[in-house]
Amino acid sequence: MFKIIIAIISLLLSSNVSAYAKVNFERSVLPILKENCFNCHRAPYKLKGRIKKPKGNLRLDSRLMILKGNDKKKILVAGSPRNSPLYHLTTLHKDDESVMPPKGDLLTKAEQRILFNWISEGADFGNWEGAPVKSEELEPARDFSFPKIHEQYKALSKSLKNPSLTAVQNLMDSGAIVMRIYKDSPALYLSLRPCDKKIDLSSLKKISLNIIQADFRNQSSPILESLKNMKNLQTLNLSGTFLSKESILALGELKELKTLNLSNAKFENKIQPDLTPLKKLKIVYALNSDLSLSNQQYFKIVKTAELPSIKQFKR
Amino acid sequence: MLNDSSSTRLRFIQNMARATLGLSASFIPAYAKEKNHIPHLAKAHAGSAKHVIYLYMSGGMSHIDTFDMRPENKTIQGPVAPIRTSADGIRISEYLPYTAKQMHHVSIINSMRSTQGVHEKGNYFMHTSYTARGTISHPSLGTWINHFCPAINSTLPQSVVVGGDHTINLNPGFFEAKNAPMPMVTPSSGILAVKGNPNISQSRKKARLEKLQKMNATFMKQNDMKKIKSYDDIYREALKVMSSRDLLAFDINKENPTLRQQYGSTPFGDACMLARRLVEYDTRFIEIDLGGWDSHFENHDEVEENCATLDKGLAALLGDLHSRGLLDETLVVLATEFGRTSKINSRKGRDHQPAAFTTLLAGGGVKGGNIYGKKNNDCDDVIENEVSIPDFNATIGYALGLPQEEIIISPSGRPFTFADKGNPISDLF
Repeated sequence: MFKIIIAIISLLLSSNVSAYAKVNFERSVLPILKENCFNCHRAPYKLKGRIKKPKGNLRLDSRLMILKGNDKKKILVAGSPRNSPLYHLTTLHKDDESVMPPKGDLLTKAEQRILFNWISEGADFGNWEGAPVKSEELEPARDFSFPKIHEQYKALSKSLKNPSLTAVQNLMDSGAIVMRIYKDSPALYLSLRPCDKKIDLSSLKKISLNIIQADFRNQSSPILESLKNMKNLQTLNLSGTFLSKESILALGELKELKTLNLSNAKFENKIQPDLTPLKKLKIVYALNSDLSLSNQQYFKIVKTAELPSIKQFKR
Repeated sequence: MLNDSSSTRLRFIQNMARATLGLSASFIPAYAKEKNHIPHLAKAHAGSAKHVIYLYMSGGMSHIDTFDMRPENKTIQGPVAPIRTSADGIRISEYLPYTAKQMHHVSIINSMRSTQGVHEKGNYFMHTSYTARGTISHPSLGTWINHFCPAINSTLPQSVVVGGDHTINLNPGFFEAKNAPMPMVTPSSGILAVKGNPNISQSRKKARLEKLQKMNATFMKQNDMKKIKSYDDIYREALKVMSSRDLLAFDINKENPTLRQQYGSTPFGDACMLARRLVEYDTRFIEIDLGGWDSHFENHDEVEENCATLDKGLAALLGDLHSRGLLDETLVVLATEFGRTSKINSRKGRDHQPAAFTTLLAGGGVKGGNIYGKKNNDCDDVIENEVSIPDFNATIGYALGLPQEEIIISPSGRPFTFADKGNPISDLF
């Protein structure tokens, strides 16, 4: 009985982190930020005639700025305190060079707990807005996570349906490597090179529109012919591969192809593929291959190796 | 006979293993292996590169005698002249005649700046993006790439290191041991000890392995820890390598002897040729070390001699990768721990200079025939577009599409990211 009373009293005392009410930002979190963080992380202000800028370009005195983070990184991931430096950095050892606050006392365990709970519960700011923010301060941080050169995949990904997972699994079971071009994208990279079992052609057909990059090195006829279904293929590696008549014809269907690697590839009866319909083609690698196209093409052909000559170089 | 209760020796070993392998909590977000999961080629975005060949010039390569020359100032330049290259307006050292023909593939970064002026610490900083400290061991580049990039060849190691300081470039740091790259001693002899004992038949080998698994089973069950599992994974991976049909990748004797000569027929050249083979077999990261750049004495003789080795290897590598269509997807990096002073010392040598040096990037989506950043006239300070070591490594990560903002919490609870606080130089792409 006595124990229960103590438990109830301690629950009442720790009202801020009560198990039932959500953490209130203004009542519980803001005082912690004010006391420990605002000194360095707030809007520029004048001190002894000099303008003090926020440290690390990070302001914590406004809702919008907390959500923005600094120029490089977000500091708050609602629902995930572990991935939020706003919480995580306060829990480091006092000797750690990244610990926050860097000087003075660290947050108490109870204060850390409040931050933790507030972020886990979704980081609700209530009606708090904080200090005013200039519009230029809100310019989004430079996004390095998605380079511009890959915007092409983004647009393409929107037009694609998600690949059939059973088909993908079937291919992977036969040793193929299937990967999404980037996170959650329906566009796929497919490599059949490591396959040690028979490849299921119908599975290959099912995901053929999703395949953007493909490695079909050393594959043979029925599989190579299935290339003709891969209307979105942009990069194809057929290096060292023997191509039958049908598979040579299939190449002409790949209207989206940009890069084609035919180095060391051999063609049945030296039949030449018709690459003229491939208007997007930029470069064909054809070292030691049977390809006998002239260099007078709208795309580039690499046919010779630029290697150091064996003759000893003389100064 | 060999069960726990009767065998005190086994019990002792078990306890030892428990104690030494540690009781660290699992912290690595394992790739989901459940059915119907499609991994990502790169975790963050489709990188412009699938592979990295990292050529490390250990000892500190002299930038002024190689890629950032000052011919107008004879007192600091010494007896070496620049030559024209295949890239408009770019001139490099006459010590590198073959590389000069490949410069249209290369971006020169002339504004590198490190904070570490001692070999080991500089090397550590280059390889980990963090400065060395006593309290934590940071993983090497090869380890990070192993951790983030799912395998595109399931039977070969993803990350291979030839030579160099293995305490740094093989260091798994706070990751599991299995993430460490595989070391290779001499490229010409292939990987050692993968054949197995010829006197033991396949069936006997299988029986032995089964027995081993049986013996391990109880221990594994009682000590269900990531780190212990990791050691088991290493065995498994080794067996996979031993039975891989792609082992041919390591056999450079399969290459045309003329090509080998073009690569220089040196251990470095052989390693470069091996690296190209490994890229063809879908290895993600290959590091090759070329030492001997610490030219405190007779700098120009030493640099010239070293350049002869580097020149053929690097030029052949770039040319060979390009003609096989591999340079688009392979980032070739030339890195070193720091540069060397412009002032020539009394022993005709050059000393350490971390404040300004030069590195190269080529292929993997990087612009060719390009110079980034600038040093001052005396070639001893950066005056434009400074690139820190973390920035440089972040650029490698950017090319590969690594999730650079992803925070990895070490077992000791500290946050780490791939290139610390580095920002990629996106202008290079």
